[in-house]
Amino acid sequence: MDFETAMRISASGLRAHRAWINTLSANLANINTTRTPEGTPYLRRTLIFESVPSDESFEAALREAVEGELDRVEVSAVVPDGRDFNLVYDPNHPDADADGMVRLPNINPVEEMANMLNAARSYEANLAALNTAKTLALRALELGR
Amino acid sequence: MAQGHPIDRTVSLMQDRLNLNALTQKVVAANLANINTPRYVAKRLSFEDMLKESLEENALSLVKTSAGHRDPTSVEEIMREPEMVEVGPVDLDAEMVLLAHNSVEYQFILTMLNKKFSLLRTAIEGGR
Repeated sequence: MDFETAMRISASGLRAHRAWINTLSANLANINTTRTPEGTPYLRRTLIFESVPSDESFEAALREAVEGELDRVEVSAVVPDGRDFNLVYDPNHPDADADGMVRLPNINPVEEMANMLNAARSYEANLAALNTAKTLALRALELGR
Repeated sequence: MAQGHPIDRTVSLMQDRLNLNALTQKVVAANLANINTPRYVAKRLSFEDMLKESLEENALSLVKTSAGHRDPTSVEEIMREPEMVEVGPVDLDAEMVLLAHNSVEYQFILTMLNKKFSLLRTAIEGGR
């Protein structure tokens, strides 16, 4: 029985939630972006978390069945969500259409910040689990001293 | 293994318990990692209840009055074959409490194991 798997699982949680924070930052940074390489205003991105078996190696399959049920997390995709753009009347804007309407990304800063808090707390929880595993592994080394 | 252990079964019992605590650490890590995964169901090890039952049975020392009675499950047996149960959506507070509890328990058992070894050392040295 090792703490390495526990640490690897916690690390996957840290990685996934950091990716989420990065995506939320990108959404907030591009809240007024009207031009992208795709030719549309910026599309709000959202992450898809997926749980995958923590260890798919051959030796893991040999180990007891309970451990095989433990999943780590992975970001399986970063996708634009399908919201419509906000239409704002601003005829002087270079990207305004014939009617003077500008298409802006439909991003709600409150929603992004709420998600950011959730992501930060989840990241901290994973960090706490990682630190606990580290402490326990170190304590086990002191056995018999 | 408890049977045929050269010293006694305390050490092997504590060893099994440490293994279980290490496994619990993994379960909590997996639950926390997947806290934002849609449709993920939190997991738990279900041996605690069984263990309590078994200890109570042993404390009351059940006597088999009929050949048809089943044997009380031994503590060792329960600790070697923990079962995984699903407990619904991940509850952050519950996981953090379990994390802290598990950590304290692990360190407690390590301390007890160290005490045991120092007792054995005293015995080996004949109290010198």
